[in-house]
Amino acid sequence: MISYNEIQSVLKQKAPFIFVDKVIEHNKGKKIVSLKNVTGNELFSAFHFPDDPVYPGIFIIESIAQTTAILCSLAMEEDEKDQIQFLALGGLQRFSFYKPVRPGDILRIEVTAVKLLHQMAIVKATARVDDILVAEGQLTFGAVKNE
Amino acid sequence: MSCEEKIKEIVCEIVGIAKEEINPNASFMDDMGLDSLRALEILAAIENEFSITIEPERLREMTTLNNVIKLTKEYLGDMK
Repeated sequence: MISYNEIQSVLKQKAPFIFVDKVIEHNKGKKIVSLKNVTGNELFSAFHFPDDPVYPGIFIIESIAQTTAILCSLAMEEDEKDQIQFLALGGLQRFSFYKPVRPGDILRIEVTAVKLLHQMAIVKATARVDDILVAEGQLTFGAVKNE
Repeated sequence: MSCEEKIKEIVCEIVGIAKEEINPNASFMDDMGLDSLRALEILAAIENEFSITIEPERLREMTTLNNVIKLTKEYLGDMK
């Protein structure tokens, strides 16, 4: 298990732009499972939408991207990590949303590496709430290197 | 469907071009504007389709449809 405090030290993003609360499974370079608690206290719930808050799909994608960044970071050697500024989302393939996610839901993000290279990654990801699939697809990432 | 046809189908889907329109010797990057991430997508899709593992360093050889076909056949040949 990887705690929120450890996640903060791994990710390049900083609060309040961290979309992973806990990592509950990790198989180095192969698979990772994380949780994101969606709450009514988050800014989106006031605006998206005021009378019926729905967690924006783009935030689900960000949760997947950050979970992938943790997977990649934990698979890298220290000198590799020093060369990389951040992992950039390069594309989505066959990505679909199936159900709305609302405050009170716990998102379970499962990311499986299809291809993990030094500077690039392709992953397959699913997002579930209470074992119900809410989104899935393939994502491509490229590392942005330090100048 | 032949191996060549299947590879063509995979490449065309990722490149976003009709099968009738692709020039098998056109450069993915110079002629079709592909970047390295799309090339990696092609590699991963071919690995998945043919249940092979291509060494990452061979990615730089996957510059045209014909080169992808040639490389894939090399790996399929190794399996025999």
